[in-house]
Amino acid sequence: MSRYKFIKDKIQNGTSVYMPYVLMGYPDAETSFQVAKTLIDNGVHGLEIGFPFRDPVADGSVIETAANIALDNGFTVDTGFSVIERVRALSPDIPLTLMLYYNMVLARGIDQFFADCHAAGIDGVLIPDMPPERADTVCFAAKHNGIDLVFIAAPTTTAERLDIISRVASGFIYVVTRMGITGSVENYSDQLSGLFTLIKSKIDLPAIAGFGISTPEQARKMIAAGADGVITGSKIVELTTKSMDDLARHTQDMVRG
Amino acid sequence: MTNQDTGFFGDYGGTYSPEALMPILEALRVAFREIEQDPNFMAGFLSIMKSWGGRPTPLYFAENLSRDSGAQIYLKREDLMHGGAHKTNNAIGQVLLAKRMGKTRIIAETGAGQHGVATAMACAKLNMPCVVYMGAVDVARQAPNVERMKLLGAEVIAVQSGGKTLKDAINEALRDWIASCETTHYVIGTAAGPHPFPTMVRFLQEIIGREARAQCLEEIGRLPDYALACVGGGSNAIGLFSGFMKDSSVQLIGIEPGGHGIETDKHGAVLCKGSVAVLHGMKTLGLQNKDGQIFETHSISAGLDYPLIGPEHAYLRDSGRASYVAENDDEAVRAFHTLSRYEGIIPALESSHAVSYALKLARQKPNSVILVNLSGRGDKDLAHVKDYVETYHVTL
Repeated sequence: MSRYKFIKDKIQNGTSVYMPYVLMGYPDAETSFQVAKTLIDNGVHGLEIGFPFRDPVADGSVIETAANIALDNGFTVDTGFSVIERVRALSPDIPLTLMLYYNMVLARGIDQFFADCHAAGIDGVLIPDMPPERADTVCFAAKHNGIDLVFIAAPTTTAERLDIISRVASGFIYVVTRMGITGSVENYSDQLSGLFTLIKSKIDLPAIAGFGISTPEQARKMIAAGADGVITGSKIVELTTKSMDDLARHTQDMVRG
Repeated sequence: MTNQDTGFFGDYGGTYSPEALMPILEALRVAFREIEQDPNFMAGFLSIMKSWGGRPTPLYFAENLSRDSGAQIYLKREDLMHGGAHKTNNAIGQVLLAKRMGKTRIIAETGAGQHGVATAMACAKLNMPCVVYMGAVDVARQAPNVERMKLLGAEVIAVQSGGKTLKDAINEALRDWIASCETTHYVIGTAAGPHPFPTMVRFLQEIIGREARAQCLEEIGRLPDYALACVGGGSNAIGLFSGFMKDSSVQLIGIEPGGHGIETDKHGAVLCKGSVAVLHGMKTLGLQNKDGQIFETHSISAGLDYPLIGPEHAYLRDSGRASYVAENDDEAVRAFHTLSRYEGIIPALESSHAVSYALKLARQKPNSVILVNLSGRGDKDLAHVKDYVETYHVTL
């Protein structure tokens, strides 16, 4: 049984889910584990786990800078998987989604990579620079290892493309809620509720909003527009180097909705 | 065109881009396939190329350079093109296409600054606002081109992330484009990136090979034995090679930046030393570590300082149709001086890599005809070469 059922059940019961993003190895492996632990201890419904990449073209400057720090401090994919194993041990129930760029999958070897995901307790993988048209290269290995493939829908995504996405997507749909990169500028697209309506008419998966969300108010706007839950990324990265107490308070606020 | 038009060259190329860009890339693909077939578009493009751009560029017999070896070295004089390099072909073509698509803003990345200058010129002529992303290191080492872009009305943004060179400028331009793609066209400067860019940029640069082939037949009375071009992303090389692709007697050779030597970790010889990689929207070859982190490359020439390669070159290498070698920094600097003194032509440091290999080849094959694409002029490189010669005590 997929752990994404955990969030599906929550959503069915009227809960908006919160699945924040943790960048592995930032600023070092142990701290990133503590961040994940703090998030789980304070009630998040799932985690998105990022592997640092030198050229994160789908991310904003906050995550790029943090990724470079993590890599300068010695992050490797091996380290990343070993931290994930420890995170998984903290919670048997919540879904863990690994986000990383396609080249890192390719470099490890597609079969090896998905086997490692399975061994570490990962439930789904989101590769932001792998469009659904290219998913054929990883579908078999993912399925073989019981890993869901999570895809992005953006404000520019057409109904035709949602059909392509629906054929390969599982777990949930990551909805990019504004054009542009992750970060915290407040500039949401007006057509958001139209986008969520369109996605839900085409794909029977939870639609989770990400990109540019950092406060409970913004999260509520997303839920009102039709999102089943939210992801925050840059905000967690920013709070990581401040204090775990601030991070815990932020998490409680977000979980409360 | 159908969905079969996926932009693969063998296993390389394709589209590996964030979802937000996918619909825009599809619109671009459709628009490109239209202009490809549209005689009116080509007529407009060629008219600008002629009266404003200075095409056709001449084929020049480098008599003095040839004398010692016995081989005949010919130069395709892209350095004489308006703007000082072949980049103008691509910039005009893409800005014309962007206008046709109703875009109102142009962005570009640049390494040496030649593509930035070409795009700024094209935008000035075609009345479009222009933003150029350039790594902060390149801004420092290519100051004259930064001034030229500003004079032409472009905004130049110095990119401070990563190694602060071409790769980082592309990352930043892609970010801008993801945010602005509904109104903005991104003029990629080389035959790389997601489909349709590698095919579209080749289409616009094919004018080099088409002219060169006709000039060889008319002025030499035969095809060359070798066609040489430097390779960074690969646009001038693919432009030249395309003219001779079907002529199996013509050996196509791309020259990569060997930096301090390809046995060191300071070079940019992707086709000589790279492995399969996906970045900047394409599957290609790249220089990377075992986790797939792409390296920062090194070359004396900012225009060749790129850790990936246009996907068609990866395919041509694997298929054996083209071969690729590397010339290091010292060799390029020596060729820069040699061509200046022997022929009164100051080549771009990028093109100097090809000139250097041509001189070696001429000694090995004394009875051959060697065609070199002189992709740009070297005025922009004077200060940098002077510093390099003094720092590294290069024997000239």
